[in-house]
Amino acid sequence: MSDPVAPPMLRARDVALSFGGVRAVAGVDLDVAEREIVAIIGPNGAGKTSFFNALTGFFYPDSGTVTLRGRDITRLRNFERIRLGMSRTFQTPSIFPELTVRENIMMGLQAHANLAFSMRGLGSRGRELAAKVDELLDFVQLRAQRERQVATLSHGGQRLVEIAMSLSTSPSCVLLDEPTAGLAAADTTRIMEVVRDLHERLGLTVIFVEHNMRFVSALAHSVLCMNRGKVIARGTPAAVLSDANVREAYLGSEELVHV
Amino acid sequence: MIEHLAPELVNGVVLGAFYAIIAIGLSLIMNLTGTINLAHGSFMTLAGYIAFTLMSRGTNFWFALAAAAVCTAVVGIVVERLLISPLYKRVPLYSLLLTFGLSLVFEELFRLIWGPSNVPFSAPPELSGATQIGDVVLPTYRLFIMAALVVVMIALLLFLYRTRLGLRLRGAVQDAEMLAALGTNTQLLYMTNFALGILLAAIAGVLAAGLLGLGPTMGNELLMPAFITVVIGGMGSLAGSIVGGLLVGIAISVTTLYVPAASEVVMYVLMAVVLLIRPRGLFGEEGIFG
Amino acid sequence: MTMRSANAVGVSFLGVLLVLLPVLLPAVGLNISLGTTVILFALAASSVNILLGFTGLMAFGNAAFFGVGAYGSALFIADVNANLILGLLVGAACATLAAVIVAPFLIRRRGIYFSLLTIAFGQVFYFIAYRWSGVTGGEDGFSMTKPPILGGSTPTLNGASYYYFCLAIFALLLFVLFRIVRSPFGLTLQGIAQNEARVRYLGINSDRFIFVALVLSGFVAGVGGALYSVSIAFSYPLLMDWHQSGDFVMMVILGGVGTIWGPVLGAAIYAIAQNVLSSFTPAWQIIIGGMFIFFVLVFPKGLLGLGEARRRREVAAAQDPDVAVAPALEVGLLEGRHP
Repeated sequence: MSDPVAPPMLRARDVALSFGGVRAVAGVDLDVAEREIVAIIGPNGAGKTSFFNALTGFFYPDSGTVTLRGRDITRLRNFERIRLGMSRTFQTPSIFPELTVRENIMMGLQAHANLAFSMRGLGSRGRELAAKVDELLDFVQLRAQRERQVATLSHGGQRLVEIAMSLSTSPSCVLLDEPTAGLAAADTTRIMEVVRDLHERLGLTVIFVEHNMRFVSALAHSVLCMNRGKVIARGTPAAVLSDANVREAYLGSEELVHV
Repeated sequence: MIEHLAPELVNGVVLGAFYAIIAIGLSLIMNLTGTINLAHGSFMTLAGYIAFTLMSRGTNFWFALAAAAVCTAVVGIVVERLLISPLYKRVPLYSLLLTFGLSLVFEELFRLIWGPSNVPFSAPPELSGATQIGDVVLPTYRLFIMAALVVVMIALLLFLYRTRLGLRLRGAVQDAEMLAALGTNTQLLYMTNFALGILLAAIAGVLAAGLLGLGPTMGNELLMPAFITVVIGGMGSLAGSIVGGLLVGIAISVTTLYVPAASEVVMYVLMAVVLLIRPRGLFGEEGIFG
Repeated sequence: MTMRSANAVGVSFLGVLLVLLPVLLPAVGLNISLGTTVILFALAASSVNILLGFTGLMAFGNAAFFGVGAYGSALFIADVNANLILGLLVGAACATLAAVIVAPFLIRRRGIYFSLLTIAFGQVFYFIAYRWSGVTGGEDGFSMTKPPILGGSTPTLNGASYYYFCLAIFALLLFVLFRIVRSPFGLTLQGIAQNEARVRYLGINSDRFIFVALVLSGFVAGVGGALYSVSIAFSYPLLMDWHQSGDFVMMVILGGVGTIWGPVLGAAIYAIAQNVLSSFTPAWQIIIGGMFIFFVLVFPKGLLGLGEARRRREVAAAQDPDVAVAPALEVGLLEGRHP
């Protein structure tokens, strides 16, 4: 699975983040090895997305460090982290609604090829990039939707476009924020296959936040469970999902909902 | 020396108080709904004209001031509900275009109804003349304006920090979504907020009319410095509007005394300097409204 | 007929109209210089469109760039006895320089704070023109005599010949903008307009693109202004005032935001309304203002934009109609708090 001697792909040490007096993330450690699939779970309000945000530069932690392949990225701006090989999707698909699927994917591709500033047509480079667009579309099986405006796609389709977009910058580490949120069973299965392919066909490291435990068990190599900003369990999916603390954390929050 | 400086300082504080009041009104409207009210000056002028019309029919200054303020606020409410509120959810970015169009319409209406040149508007006799404070002789009307605007500001702060409605307004600026989820009538808040901003503009307008003269473009002349004040003081900050306004007013007045040609430049230089050192403005919040 | 071909027909019609304008205008009792004004205002409106239509930024100070171009060419031509071409280049260069100076202040902001800053900086330039009367002639403005096209004994363009000169430059710039919109740079600008956070999460420093867009905008407006002061042989401070900026923005809204020909149509509507209406009624400003309000409320995409893509805000705002959609105020909101 992962080489115990090799340095981690991503390392978070003692990351803490507060919002107006509320400690959303209260000192979280995480090591993610190359090509590992890590799931972050926890009840609502546990701080999972805030932690994600600290990892990806959406917020800067109040304390702690984040390193990517040995390089300290704690204070790097978000686009700088992307250039170092990170990429991310969001809870609500963050796409360009009025552009076509092709244009959505081209946005990252042309930037990665250092062509984004070009004010004229692309010529032969354009054909190269167009081929790459098709490649990515084939990966998520959306080739047929290439010329459709993304706003007209289903929720599941938009998620797939977003994943393809996150691949357009040739990342080594992909962070997915609740990739199955709001999806029906069929779409969830498709996303599962795509995430599996990210790991198996593309050799990427994947970190995702999820509530869908079936998804977690099927895909994750290791799981981190958070509650109230702290890590309360970590280990294999089987171990974490049967952990008493984890059950209590989820049960506790469920009870709140019922009352 | 103090005899020369004092009147200019008073001028500066008076001017600054005007800019502050206008800037606060602009800020209130901007913070809550993201509307840059380019018609703010028009509302000031409207209040001036209403007061003028009432006074030329025989009412006294005090009644005219109050009535003009209320009437103008009502006009503001109508404008906000009919024209501006549709944009809140649709294209908030365009609300300044709408207020721009409004300012054009207002300006022309003023010209048509009251003529293109200034109408005679003078301070009431009990406030004209001069008052002696110690060694210094100061125009009574200016002292009155200063006092009036200070009273208004205190009243505003009391309203915002000591009443339930004020609390809700400030809460809405922080998180309108949460308030809506809690069942607050956010539309009512937007309307009240706008009316409050216009009320402040109206009071400033009537007071300014007696000082600067009342013509179709009176309000607009005060508007741009007020915008500069908002930039200097920091968007999203009421304290910033007050401090910024006083800073600009005093800077302009003192410069007028010593280097008359540079009097307004100082406002822009101030803005550039503040933006370079503190891009958010003096009291600007970090990306959070209010 | 599809929307695309309808647009193509409309655009061709506009093109033919523009070429025939020096004949058509006098035929209806109007001056050819009105046509020149339309063309040059269309350039100013196009400069706004680069920011508003392509990048999603409400720029309310472009009249300053227009005015700097105007004064730049006028003063240079008058002081150095330069020819038209040189004056044009200098005017455009001045406006571009103004954009380069102002841009660093603007690129750290978005949304209404950006707009506020454009208003403020626009006023700085207006104020300079108004106060620096020794150089600019102050409130009274600055008259000049039209220069020959290349100096010496070359002809001095006037009336119809000046119109076609402007039309040629205008057509060239419009074509350049057309190419830019379809280029990778143009696509990135559209991305910024629709979802700047995502643009940055694709590894793109959106600030740099906005900087270039601002400079490009300044340049295009500057060309318009440089030609305009020569056209009317006069420069005056109100050319730079926020009212003028607002007029330019409205031309874009009227004609069609984010389209190439929209600003042209808008400039035509505005200039003709202004000239024709003012001869009928002194209250023409009420009509224009009312028209602005009407379009903002009913046709915010403008006449040519009617068939274009859906409003992005509607997609987002569909969530909660009671909540005013407040766009991000500054770059910091796109990536959280700064360290």
